[in-house]
Amino acid sequence: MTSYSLKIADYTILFNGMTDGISLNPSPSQQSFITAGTDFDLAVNVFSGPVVVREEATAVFKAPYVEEINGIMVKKSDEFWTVYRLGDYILVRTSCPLSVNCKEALLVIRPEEKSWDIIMDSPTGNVDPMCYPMDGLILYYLTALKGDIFIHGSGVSHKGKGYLFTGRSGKGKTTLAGIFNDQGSLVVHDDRLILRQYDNGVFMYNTPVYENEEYRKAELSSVYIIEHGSSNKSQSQPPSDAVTSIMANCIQHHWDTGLIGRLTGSIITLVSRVTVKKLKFVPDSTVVSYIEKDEC
Amino acid sequence: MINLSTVYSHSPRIVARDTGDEYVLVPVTDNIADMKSVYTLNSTGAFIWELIDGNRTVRDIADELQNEYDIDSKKALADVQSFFSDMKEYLIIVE
Repeated sequence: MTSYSLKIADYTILFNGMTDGISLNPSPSQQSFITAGTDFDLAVNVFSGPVVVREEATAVFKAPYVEEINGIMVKKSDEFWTVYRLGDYILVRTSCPLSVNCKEALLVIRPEEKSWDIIMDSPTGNVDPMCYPMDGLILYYLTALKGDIFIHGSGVSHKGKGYLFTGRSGKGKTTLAGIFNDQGSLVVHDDRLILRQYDNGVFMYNTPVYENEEYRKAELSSVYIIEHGSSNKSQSQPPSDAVTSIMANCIQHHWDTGLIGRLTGSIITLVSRVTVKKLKFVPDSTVVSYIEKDEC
Repeated sequence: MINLSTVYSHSPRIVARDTGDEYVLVPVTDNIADMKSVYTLNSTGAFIWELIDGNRTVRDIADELQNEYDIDSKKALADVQSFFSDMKEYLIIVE
């Protein structure tokens, strides 16, 4: 196909193939996020061709390629993706290590506009514009510029309340999602979530990660900063500790004072609207009843 | 050692946000691997932070701390010098 739209976190992102012969092939993880309609919040023009960053662009932020092998983070390469500034534009050049049809891609972000570009270096022209890591980069900049929070965590909706469990890798996000899933709760996602704050509440949303994933959202009541413990025990956090704990688990690019300020402000607002606690937990069903009582 | 007549300013590579009576300080970085440090200031630190304005000397700030918290001059100077020493080490303030 040459055009399709995704609905992610209540944003409609329209992808348009712009180069003759280009074919857009969204991965299976995106299928249930595909939406009809012509209205959009962001249009992404997708081109096939060589990736070139103009000499005048200034590199401002970069990320190494890190892979988790047997629970250990291993740096595979110093160069994964790099952010450049060119006038008002933000450029992100990245390799696409998991893509068969695209070696390299360039995301051109016009922060004040609803139209961005992707140039994908693909010999076939058969591309997935949301291939890793472009999916996370698009969603990060879309949400960061809008003042949303993109966070590592698992989110569940349980008996009318929404809980976000966040913490570093290995702290138990997926474990808790599994425990609540076994209790019949809705698991919004077990890895990463977008949080959006509206006048009528804070909502958490999943994003396309796994195959056959459905679009999910739930209103957020409480955030728990988690770690394994010998018993179930929660503890309230002072606001500044809550802000730093949440920030430590956010997906964030700290090269721009405006982006940092916006994210910090959003987290401060979040902390004023929902309960934030530290939670030490035992990885069994007792944590569910503990949280139910804790919320009363 | 912190000179009492030195004037400091907030580093332009720090974003500070007030969370009530405390502050969160976030450094600007150029590599995702370096994004590990976020600092918080308690209410006393926040009081000093708000006085660092590129005009007041370290001694001026110690004097204001002494008046605000009703402590003796020696303690105010020691607290402020310790605070500035940490802030300077972490590149949170600049001369």
